[in-house]
Amino acid sequence: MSTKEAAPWESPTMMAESSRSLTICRAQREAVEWEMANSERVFMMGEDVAGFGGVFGTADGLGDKFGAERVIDMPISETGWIGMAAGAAMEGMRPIIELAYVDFIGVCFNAIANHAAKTYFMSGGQYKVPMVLISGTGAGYNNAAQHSQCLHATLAHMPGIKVVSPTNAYDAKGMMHSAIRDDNFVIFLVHKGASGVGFMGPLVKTSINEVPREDYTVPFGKVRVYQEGTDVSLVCVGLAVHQALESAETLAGMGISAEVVDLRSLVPLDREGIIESVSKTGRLVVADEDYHSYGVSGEVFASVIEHDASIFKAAPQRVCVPDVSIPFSRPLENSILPLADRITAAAIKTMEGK
Amino acid sequence: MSEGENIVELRVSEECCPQDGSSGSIVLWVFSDGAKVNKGDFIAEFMLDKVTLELEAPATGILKIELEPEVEARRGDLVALIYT
Repeated sequence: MSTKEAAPWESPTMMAESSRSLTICRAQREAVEWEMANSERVFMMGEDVAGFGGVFGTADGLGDKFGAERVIDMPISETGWIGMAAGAAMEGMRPIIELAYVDFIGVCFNAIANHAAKTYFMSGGQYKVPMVLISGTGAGYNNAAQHSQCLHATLAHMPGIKVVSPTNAYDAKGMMHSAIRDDNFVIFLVHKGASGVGFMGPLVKTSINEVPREDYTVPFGKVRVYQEGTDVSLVCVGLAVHQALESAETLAGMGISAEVVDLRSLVPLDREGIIESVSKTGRLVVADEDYHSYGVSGEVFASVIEHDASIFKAAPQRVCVPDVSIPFSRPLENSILPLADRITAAAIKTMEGK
Repeated sequence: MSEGENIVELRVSEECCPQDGSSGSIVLWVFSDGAKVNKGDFIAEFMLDKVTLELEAPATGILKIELEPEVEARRGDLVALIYT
């Protein structure tokens, strides 16, 4: 460490170890790298992970560092190799597998739903499946109906799977450490638009934050309150969190105080955290880029209603993708995504007549 | 600037902009202005034609950012200064 005089514009407080701001994909990759370096049981497998570093930067540099036996490129035959990973997990390995687009989970859903999710239960606790499945979710870049879905509810509906989705770099690293150390099967979803890969366009600024160099865990099943408020709770998952933060600014300009709550974890779901926020505000908007019907948004409503239906001062609102396949056309796509304007309109609706 | 201090420049390299006239931009600054960085630290992401390159600190010292994110830059343009 240099002891030279500070540059004239430098403040003395900056002489401590400099803090780093990272993107989600870099932060989660640090956790993978740390766990691989510290346990030979951890390995990575997926399409384009070794040579290319993962389509969304999830494995950049790991192939060179750990070699082809621990970062393994796989063919487009997920049924086979995701089943293989589940088997490796049952035998004591800790596989991290990457399915670049969650849209294609259909081809390996039997390995996931009947093997990875149920073997611990079916074996009477004899076989754990400590496997992490990383996948990219979300729309917003004209990739049409088969490369734009979130499928939050499809995955969260099935018992035996933990489903998490961090929305900032700090959470991404801590939750990845938690996921790899968890003895259960964890699906780790990151919205492609927030992950921080350059080719997806300008970075989402509210997804970039300070990330410690050392390892740490962020526990599953606790909401993160991004911003406190008193009039309406904007409960969100994935990229919708960042849209809600933008909406909250607009609402503040109208004199409406919005609380922005990130679920972070769909299974386990922090129902108490949801209830705590809505108990305070009495108004609820759920923003979720998954489809409108039968979704996480309805589950959030139910969590409050089953606790105490009288909490609501106004009917709660859902801001989701209407029940249509996601269009390619940019204007059509923008019209169906849970963007800030729609969240703002829904929040205002809960305030009407008050 | 105090006496005995050196300034090391970081400019857009040939690797970042291999062709004449091509331009890219900073995507992310890992450290903020005024941070202490070590030689070889990954300090920024630079993107050209959807390919992202990592920029490393050319020296140990205090970082002074000269190129903000999303601002178009060409080979030879100043990216940062390191006060050693």
